[in-house]
Amino acid sequence: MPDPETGPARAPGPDPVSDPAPERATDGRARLLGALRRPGSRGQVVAAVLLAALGFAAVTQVRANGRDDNYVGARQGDLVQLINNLSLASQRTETEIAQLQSTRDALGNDTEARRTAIDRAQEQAATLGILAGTLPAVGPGVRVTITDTRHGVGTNQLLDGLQELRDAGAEAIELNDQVRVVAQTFLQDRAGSGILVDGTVLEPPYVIDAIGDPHTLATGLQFARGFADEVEGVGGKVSVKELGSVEVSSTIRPEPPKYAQPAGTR
Amino acid sequence: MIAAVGLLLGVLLGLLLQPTVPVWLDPYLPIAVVAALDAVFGALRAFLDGIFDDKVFVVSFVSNVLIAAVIVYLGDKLGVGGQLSTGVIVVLGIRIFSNVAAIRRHLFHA
Amino acid sequence: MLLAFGLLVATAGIQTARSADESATSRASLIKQLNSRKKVLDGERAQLQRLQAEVATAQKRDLQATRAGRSLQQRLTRLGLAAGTLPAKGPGIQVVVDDARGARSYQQQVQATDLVKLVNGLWQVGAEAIAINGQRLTSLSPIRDAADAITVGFSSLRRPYRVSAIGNRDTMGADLLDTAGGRAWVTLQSTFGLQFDVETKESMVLPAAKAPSLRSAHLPPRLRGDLPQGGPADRGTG
Repeated sequence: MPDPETGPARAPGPDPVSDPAPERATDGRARLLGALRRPGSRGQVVAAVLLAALGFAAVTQVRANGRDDNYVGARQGDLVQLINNLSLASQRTETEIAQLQSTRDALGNDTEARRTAIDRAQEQAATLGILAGTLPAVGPGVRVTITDTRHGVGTNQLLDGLQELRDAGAEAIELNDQVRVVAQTFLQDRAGSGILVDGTVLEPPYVIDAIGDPHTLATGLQFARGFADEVEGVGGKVSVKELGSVEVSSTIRPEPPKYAQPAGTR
Repeated sequence: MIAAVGLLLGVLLGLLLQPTVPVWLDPYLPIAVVAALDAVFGALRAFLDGIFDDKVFVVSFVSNVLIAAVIVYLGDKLGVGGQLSTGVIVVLGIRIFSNVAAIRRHLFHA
Repeated sequence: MLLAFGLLVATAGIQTARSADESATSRASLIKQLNSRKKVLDGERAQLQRLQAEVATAQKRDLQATRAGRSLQQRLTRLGLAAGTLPAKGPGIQVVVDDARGARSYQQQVQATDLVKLVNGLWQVGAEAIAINGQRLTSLSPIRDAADAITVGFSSLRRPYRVSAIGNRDTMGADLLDTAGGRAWVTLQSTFGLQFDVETKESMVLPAAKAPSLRSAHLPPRLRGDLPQGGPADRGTG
């Protein structure tokens, strides 16, 4: 490559080490400062343009390098695994699409449509009712008994227990066969023994009925340093029974909300 | 002054526009950037030496970039892509170092 | 001489081009495959969403046609709002919490249990719907600490945490500070420097949670077919 700036015909520039400093009227530093104060010479503009290009390219390259491969560390085997997962997910989605398409077609056909719509709506109402706590539910699950002779168990432990159960897939939860636990359920400590759940006093021992996969629920509560250990740490004891059928019979009276409305995006 | 502004502008544009590098450009960009850097430092040194010529700057900038690209391309085709690029970077690096040293002596007399 | 050289170069070039670097290209082709499959999956998911919207609209239209259908539709709306599967809008408050500035120990960072207490307090003062960073809370949403972040309903959240609660915006804020959760946060703020800020909002929109399908829980048999008062002929799902 041609040596920059001194041009091909010239001898290589003065060797700064062995030659004496070139005798100019002003030295390099002064010249630089002079140029900084005097903008607008053609040379400067040219330099500006090229430097802009350099800056742009450099920044772009740095980004590209940083952002690039999500798969930098992945080995051949990992990539193949990822591809398999993706095709599985695609298959599942395709099945759902096919199902929905047939449902949509059924809904398009007039007389069938109304019956189909009502059937679907009833199923949805059942699901939502269980979620919102307005309908009772049954299914496999666990019955968790928490004894609390030292009155150490409070809302902290129970709230943790509820999170664990939800994390383990609990679909319906009931406390002491009296209070249904839903999203809006709140717990309060009270002086003396017992706690308040949605305003209702519950005394120990606390019994939690939860519907879900019994083994997953039980494991979720009993793993080391988890809920069971936490309760024991405050003087209580947890016993979990996996059951083939648990009934969550208490319900919540449906009340129309005062402030919340459906946000229509029709 | 304007030169520095130009650099800043370029960097800002790069950050704002966030362009994605087209796939065919991908192997050439890094080495082009280094080659351009070499041209820039050489220009700065020449300026401090009092022998700066903007035409020469443009020519060397552009040709550095082009030649670097050609070498990368050739290297790929011949199958010595990695090694050749490394060699180019080493040479550019050496030149940058020596130019920077000269610049340093000018600016700080040290 | 030049001819021979030219031939040499050409052959080397062709040779290399043919047996192109094995590992690099096969890995590159795997990555390409991965990216294209991802695009396909994204397209399918988009199609699924469109279909879901179509079916929902069709169902609504069909339900409107009968009295049983209309009352079912109303019930679905009410339940969806309470359960969190329908987007909700209304006035309320937004509580924004965050780690202490320059937090270094875990005590100076927001933990899941802190959010749980906050949410518990909000329900206590009458919130009707709550979402954290756009994740609507349902009876199935756990708030947990995961490796690097807090997860709500299996979505990872990033700080700061905006807890939006629809309800009486004039009273909830003050009442919150009277609850155990509110007081806990005031302590967190003064002792560890966690950030805690309450804003009243005239109108917020809380997105819906994805409608889950229940795998274990179902209606007790005595109730099946006894659902919403439908027309005489509608003897339900059975």
